[in-house]
Amino acid sequence: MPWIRAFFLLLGIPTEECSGVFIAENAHRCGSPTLHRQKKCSKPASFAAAAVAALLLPAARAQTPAPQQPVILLDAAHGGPDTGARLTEKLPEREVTIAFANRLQSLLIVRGFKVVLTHTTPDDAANLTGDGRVELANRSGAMACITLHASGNAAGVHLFTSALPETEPALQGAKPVPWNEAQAPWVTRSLRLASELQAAISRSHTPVTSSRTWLAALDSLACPAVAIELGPLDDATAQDPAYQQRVAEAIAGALLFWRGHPNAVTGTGAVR
Amino acid sequence: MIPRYQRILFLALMTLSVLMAGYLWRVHQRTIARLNSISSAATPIEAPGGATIQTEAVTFLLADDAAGTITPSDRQIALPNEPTIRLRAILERLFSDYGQTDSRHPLKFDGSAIADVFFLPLPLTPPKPPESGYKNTEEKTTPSPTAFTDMAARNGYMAVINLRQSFADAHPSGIEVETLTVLSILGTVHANFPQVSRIRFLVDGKTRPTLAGHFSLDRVYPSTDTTLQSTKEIP
Repeated sequence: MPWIRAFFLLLGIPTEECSGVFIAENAHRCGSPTLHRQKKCSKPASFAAAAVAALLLPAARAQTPAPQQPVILLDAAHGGPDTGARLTEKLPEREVTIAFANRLQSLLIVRGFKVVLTHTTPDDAANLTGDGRVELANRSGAMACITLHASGNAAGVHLFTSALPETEPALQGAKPVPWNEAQAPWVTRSLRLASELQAAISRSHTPVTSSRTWLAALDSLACPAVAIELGPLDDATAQDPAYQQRVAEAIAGALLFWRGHPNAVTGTGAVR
Repeated sequence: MIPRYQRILFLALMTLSVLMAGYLWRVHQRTIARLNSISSAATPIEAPGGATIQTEAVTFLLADDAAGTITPSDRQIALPNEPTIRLRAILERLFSDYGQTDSRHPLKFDGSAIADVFFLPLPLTPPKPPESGYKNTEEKTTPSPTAFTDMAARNGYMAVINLRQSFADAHPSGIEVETLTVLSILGTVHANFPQVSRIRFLVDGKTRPTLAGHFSLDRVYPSTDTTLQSTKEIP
């Protein structure tokens, strides 16, 4: 009887050999190809069986492997003996960038991203070379690579993309790519990513500019890449957690939008 | 009792001392009057020989930190004719402007920012020797005297700007500020030397990875118009 079979199925107890087929047939009518057993032993489906199938199929879907989490690479610039710029007399750039990277990491994780950090404390970067950072980024298969900087010379947030001339990957073919020009096929996507970030940061009531530059950390990346330079709005915001949080939330929101963007493709895994 | 001759000698010396003091006071007054007349003169000292200095319009691309822009600005300055000295004078003037306290892109450094400037004809590889028809090996390897000039006319020159290390070490650190400095130099060279197609930087004769920790300084840059409009979005 379909009713009895449905009852046992609801409890998760298979009643006979062909119970799975029974669900599959009804599921197939609903367009779900989850279960496919070919043995024909069921009777015509009833409404109750369809209801049971509707209840059980989400569970069956949950058992299938989850899609891979999108990866964001965060590189807090400087670190180790390289302190970078000085925002104030006692505040080096490396302290601000690592604090900002850790803050942004938390916001991205709660939004469903997998975050790869090049280092987590300023001292971790003691043996990390610039090429080592880039290699880590290119291996990560990230959909966006964000290099974080800080400076006391200009107020607000400054976004930078590589100044390399844009080249189409299709035109490049099998030609070897120089290490310091790996970003060239990604420049168009990087510009789009910078545009999304600029719009989001502007909406967070923070002054923001966008331009292009020659930066070794950007030019070798094989992923959509943007360098973000965080400048204090005044002396009080040089190390202000609220200011950093506001900018970090805007960036995280923009990356969530970027996740569904057609240009959000992952890196090719270029390794030196 | 003082002898008479000693009294006469004393009075004579006393009289002489008074006369000398009076003379020195007179000379002192004259000197002060002469120095005052020189310092208060309003007219400038003219160049010897009556030479007239020719000034010409030079376009500088000036950076603005607050706006994040690079804008062209014309100035009238006197320049030498020799190209390398001319370029050096233009860049020195550019950095002199940035060294002012009221500059919109303030750079603090001691002395001169430029150690040397020179031009190289492009391409940097030597020209290919003729395929055949030459028996003399010297003729095969030696290009014609106008070869470099002809190539440079087609491909342009590379300007090599050798900065002083004291300037690079004192430069403020940050992507924005370093980018504006270099783009300002590139744009100024492009505006005044159209025959230059590539620009390269050295620091005290050596390559340096970054200007002040960010901007890559070891590349060869195209000489292009680097005018930068403001993209600042202020909420």
